[in-house]
Amino acid sequence: MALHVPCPNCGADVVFRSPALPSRICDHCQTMLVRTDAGIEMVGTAAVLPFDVSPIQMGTRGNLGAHGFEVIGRVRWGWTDGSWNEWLLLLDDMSTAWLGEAMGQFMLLRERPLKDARSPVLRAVTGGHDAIPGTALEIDGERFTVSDARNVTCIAAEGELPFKAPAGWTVYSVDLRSRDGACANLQRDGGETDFYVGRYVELGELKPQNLRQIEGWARPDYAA
Amino acid sequence: MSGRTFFYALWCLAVVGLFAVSGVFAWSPFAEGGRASHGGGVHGGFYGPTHK
Amino acid sequence: MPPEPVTSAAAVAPAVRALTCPNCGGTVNLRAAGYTVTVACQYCGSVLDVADPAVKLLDRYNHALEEPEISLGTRGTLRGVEWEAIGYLRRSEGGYYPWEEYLLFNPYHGYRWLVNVRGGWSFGEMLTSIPDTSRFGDLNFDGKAYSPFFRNGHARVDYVLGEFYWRVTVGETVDTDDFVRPGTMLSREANANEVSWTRNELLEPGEIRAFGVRPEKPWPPLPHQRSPYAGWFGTAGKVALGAVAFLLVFFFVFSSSQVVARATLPIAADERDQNATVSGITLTRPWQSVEIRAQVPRLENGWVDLDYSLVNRATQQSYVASGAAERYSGSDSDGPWTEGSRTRTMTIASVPAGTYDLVIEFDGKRWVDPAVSISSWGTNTSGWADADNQPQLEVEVRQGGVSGGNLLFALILIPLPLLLALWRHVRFEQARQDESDVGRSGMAALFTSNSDDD
Repeated sequence: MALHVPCPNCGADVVFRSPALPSRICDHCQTMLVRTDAGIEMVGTAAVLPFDVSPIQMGTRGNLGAHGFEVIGRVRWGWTDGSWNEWLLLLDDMSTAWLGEAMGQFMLLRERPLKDARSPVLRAVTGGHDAIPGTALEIDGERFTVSDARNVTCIAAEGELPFKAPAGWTVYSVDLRSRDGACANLQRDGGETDFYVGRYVELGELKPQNLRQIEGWARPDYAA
Repeated sequence: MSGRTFFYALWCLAVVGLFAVSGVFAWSPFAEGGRASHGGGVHGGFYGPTHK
Repeated sequence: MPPEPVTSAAAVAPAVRALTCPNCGGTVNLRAAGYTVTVACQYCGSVLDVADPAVKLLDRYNHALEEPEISLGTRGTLRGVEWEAIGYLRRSEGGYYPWEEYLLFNPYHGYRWLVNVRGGWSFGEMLTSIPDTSRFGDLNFDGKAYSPFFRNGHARVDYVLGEFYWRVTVGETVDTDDFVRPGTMLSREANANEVSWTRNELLEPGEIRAFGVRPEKPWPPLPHQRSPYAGWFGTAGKVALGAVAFLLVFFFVFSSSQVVARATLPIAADERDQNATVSGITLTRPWQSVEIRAQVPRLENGWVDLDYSLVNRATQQSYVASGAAERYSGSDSDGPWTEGSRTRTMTIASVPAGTYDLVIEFDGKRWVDPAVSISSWGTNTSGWADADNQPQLEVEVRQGGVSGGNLLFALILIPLPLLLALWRHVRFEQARQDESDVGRSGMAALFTSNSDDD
């Protein structure tokens, strides 16, 4: 199922693990590649990722409920007052999830059909309107509050992704939070909106393996 | 906090102990009378039958 | 096959990113690169924007910086996890009641806060769930109830040093509300764009030593400080009940007394000293109290002096007691009155076993009322001791049990330390609650007099 091809630019081995993830960045030459019926296309060069001390790295593995996962991609998003990582997880049933990492807190999100975002506030966002932080709404009967709503820009990316992530790509992102740790996200790119629902997790809950080793810091107990 | 409980238990033990000791010896600070310091009094110090 | 190692041995990532301060040229070490948005240069104090790779100078300062109590870069282990202090804030309520906050970081555990209020240290964590709040009442979070303490506060940043994950500026203000329960404080901070909640847990005095800080005992107590006496009452109360139960059981078992002698003695009319002996009183217990009950049924407006000597026949040791039975009555503008009693009981303590003779010295006296003139009724003395009234002294000697007075005394002593602790607990709670924006409640309010309300 996994497709191994040489990179059209540098010839290094490049893997596409899932047809749902047609884009990727070559690990060696940073060329952005897209897999189509016609073959592998080069669509530009990705920016270099800035230095960070995230504990997650490409190849980190863990458990999400009954399923194991591996981190296979990352997008770094930024706005005027900061930036954060969103890691793409490939589960062993070939589905995907996103692990958002900001301010030391982790949000685990899974894509949901847009029709599940039934709240009028969310429909307005889909239609091009802005959301106001503090607004309350309901998803699946659970109460959420808009915690953030702003334009965010893609800074850099690596690995396999479901979309092209060119530097400078801007989307409108709305973050939602609930009373007991659930979270949701709406990402609007022009006429297209994606909807994700999930919850906050502690890194230890995911029983991570192959975490990045950071100089001077001991391995965490939860990963032992 | 357990130190405080220990000392309070000691206090209660002391009070109860003193109470028990006072009971055994039938002593009370509220009694009006007790042992006389001198042996004197009526009869010049001798009591009881004065003849066989 | 052995389990995969948790962290990759292949590449050890550096922990720190060094950059050059655009103002003073000093080397600034970023310990939370990728997360940190603003860093204040430790040499010149200028605030730098590091949100993107090009470092921008935001606020230029050139002043010597005061070292905070915990130097940035200091690591300490709290509750099993090692943390590094990477940022320092001083905040206040518009300049009043200042406090300090340290931003702690561990790449595998995220961020925490160390908050120092008047020498009391708390360990803070930003929450990912939002507590259920009606803003004007108690809060419920994670199954526990929190009471409001501070309302409508305005926390202003007065001084910054080190790294922060948001764009912090000196002078920025947030609206605050704080809720407490013993040991924990929930703080809500809001500005125009967002609301965040932090849970601060009070550290035990020894815990802050992990960062080289000497613990202090703040007074007045911190809003979420536990009263040192609060939990103690439960156990102490049980101890007290046990002691009281023992006292009562002991008393009822050993309190019986029995009569060992009786005598009825006539009282002479001429008020002379009399004496009588009750012979052959046998006392059987190793030690006992001897109760002598004297009753003068005809006593009226007079008294009888009583002196007892209980003499041990074998050792001639005597045990003495003295007193009087007195009773007066009359009538005045308020109506008839009486004073005193016709009965007088005296107890002689600690009498050893043996055969005793009780020597009773007594005399009956009439009371002369100087206010009554002789002429009006013919006499101004009562006639209780006249021969035709047949005054008599009835004496009953009992071998006694445990003194009731001792029991009462012990029952008062037992709860005394509890009452002392209760008083100190109330004072603690009053001092703690007086710092809040809400009034006193619970025990603290119960013991508030009107003058305390100022």
